Amino acid sequence: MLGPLRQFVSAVARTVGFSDQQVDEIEICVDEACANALEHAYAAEPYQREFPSNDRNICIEMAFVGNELTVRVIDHGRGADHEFHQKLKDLEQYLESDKERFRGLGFYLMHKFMDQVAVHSLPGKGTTVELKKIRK
Amino acid sequence: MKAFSFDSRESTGEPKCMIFELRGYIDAHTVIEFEKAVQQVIEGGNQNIILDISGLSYISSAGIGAMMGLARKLSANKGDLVLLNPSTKVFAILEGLGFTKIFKIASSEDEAVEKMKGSSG
Repeated sequence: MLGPLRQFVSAVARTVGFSDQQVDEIEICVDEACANALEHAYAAEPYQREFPSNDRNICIEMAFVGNELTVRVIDHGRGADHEFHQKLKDLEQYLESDKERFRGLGFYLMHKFMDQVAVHSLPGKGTTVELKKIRK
Repeated sequence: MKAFSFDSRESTGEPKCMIFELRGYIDAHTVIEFEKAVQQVIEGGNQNIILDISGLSYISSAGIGAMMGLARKLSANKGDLVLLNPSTKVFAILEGLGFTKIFKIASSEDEAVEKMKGSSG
């Protein structure tokens, strides 16, 4: 499911004039946000690595205004009551954060490649990840 | 085309290593297949692995994390991991995140074997 989604997001970004490199950066960031939603929002337990294809809906909104692309990845899952999306300060912090499975790179990556990342999450209500990138 | 597939073979040079030729993409879904494949090789006692990623069109954080985990396991067994021939797109992702300074990356199989620990004598 993520493959066709990446193709769609890339096609939209390319259509509105982003460079190949910027398209690739947008693609991977949206992919990460969607993968997070699928993995965490509807999982019975955090970090459960299963992707049943039932009612785990996520909604993706894309808007291009001026020179700025906004992508919102919205789920209606478990939400979160902690700052799970805190920006990692550097790669060393990531490498030391989880020596077994090396998780947590997704938001580091989003902050690295996007101009703005915002997360709105309410326990039991869901999470919206908002990504913004300026066309250069 | 399958989302992810691979072939594996032994290298001809020294030190001996397993070479995985990866194709398709590694994302949050396909990373599980990748992890299973390399786990079998590690359990088989192989210490050195070359991942030929020239056929990878895409890699997400899940794939990068799995490769980091693999590198760490091999290192703990006094082995090593070298990435071979990343595409421009995959290299840009790795470079943008700072992983080109962490992974050993080679542009030919000979160079990859040379970069393995102890290969310089």
